[in-house]
Amino acid sequence: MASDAGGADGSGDGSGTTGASAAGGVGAPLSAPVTITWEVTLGCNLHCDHCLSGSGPGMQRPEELTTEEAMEFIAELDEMDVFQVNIGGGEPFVRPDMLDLLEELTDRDISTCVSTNGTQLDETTLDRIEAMDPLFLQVSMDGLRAENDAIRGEGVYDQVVDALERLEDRDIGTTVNTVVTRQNVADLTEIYDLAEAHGAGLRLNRFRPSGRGEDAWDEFRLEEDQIRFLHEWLDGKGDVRTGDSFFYLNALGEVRNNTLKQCGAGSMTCLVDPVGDVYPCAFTQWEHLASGNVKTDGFQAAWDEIASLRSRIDDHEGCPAVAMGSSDPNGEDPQLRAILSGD
Amino acid sequence: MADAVSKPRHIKFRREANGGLVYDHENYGYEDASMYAVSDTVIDVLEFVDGDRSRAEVEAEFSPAVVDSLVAKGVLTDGE
Repeated sequence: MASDAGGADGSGDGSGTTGASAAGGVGAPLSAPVTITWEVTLGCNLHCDHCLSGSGPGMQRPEELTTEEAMEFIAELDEMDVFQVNIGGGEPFVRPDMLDLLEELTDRDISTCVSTNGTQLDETTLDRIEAMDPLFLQVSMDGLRAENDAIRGEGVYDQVVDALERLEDRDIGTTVNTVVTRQNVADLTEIYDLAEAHGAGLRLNRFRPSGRGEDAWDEFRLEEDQIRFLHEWLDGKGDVRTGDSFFYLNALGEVRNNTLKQCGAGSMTCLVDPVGDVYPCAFTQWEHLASGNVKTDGFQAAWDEIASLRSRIDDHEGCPAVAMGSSDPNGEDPQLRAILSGD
Repeated sequence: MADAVSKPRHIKFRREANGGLVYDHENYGYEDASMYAVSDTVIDVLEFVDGDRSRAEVEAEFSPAVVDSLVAKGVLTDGE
């Protein structure tokens, strides 16, 4: 994991910096995660076909964290020195207290990234977001108009483009986030150009068989020639950000760059779901991998427990969520296997 | 040479059981960040700097080589 070129031990300057490792950073379980993903609600105004959390209108759970509980959780994150919180859902901005929670996070200087569908970003909301620092927005777009709206709903593409246009002149770091599917992979260059034209970066995420994505797995997952195309395309787009261990490797199975892309589930990061249950990552929300609840156990206790679960996750063959969610009895990651062996 | 050194806002750090971590984050997501396992000395320096501090004081407490190294790596920046 980690690591950038940085210096090496033994340089004689005493500064002693080395890249951290995926399975423990400094050789022992970390005292706290480096970053967490916090799904703040299962409610959403959209009902996307591939939603990893299976969220949608009216899907809020009654036991989701209250504002007071969420504030206490944020205080514990600060106390534990968690560097970064990635906010997801559901759609975070359907929570009436979302902006208050974001202000609490950023006031504590916790790097905060918000994944949103882009349809709730009115000017009042953007005014408050722009005043927060450090805060980044990630706006979902899963293709050009036809492909995006087929997955995310009629008219959503135009709403997202409108949001990007209004974000263009604001001092808010913005990234377009695209889940790469069989239907949109050929349009990546146009999506990249669109994002760039609005001053936004592009970040690609892998489609996983999680939530409603499990039902849509065979419809949306990339075919082998598309996987190869994607990796070749990525090789020519060094500024495209990617979001998981799959993209850490190029089409030849070589390390693509030096950013934090190896799987850190349960060792460097974890997921907190809307009711406060803690899992290794957003894509491994399975009962046998649960490790406590931030309300009843406290986050520190849940994190300490998750280190023992880490040994049950094997990321050696690629993304364990894809491997465990697939029907492959050997638990291998079928997409990564295709890349590495040409199966 | 600048009179002060400071810790950039996108640099975060914390002490661990063995040494510590420095997190360099300017983009979305931990996948886009860089992180270093660092020695206790680096954490000591960052705690001593506490935002920003006279370069001479930091060099006197540690060494000019340590300060130069951390500035070269972007963990510290030259201030006013």
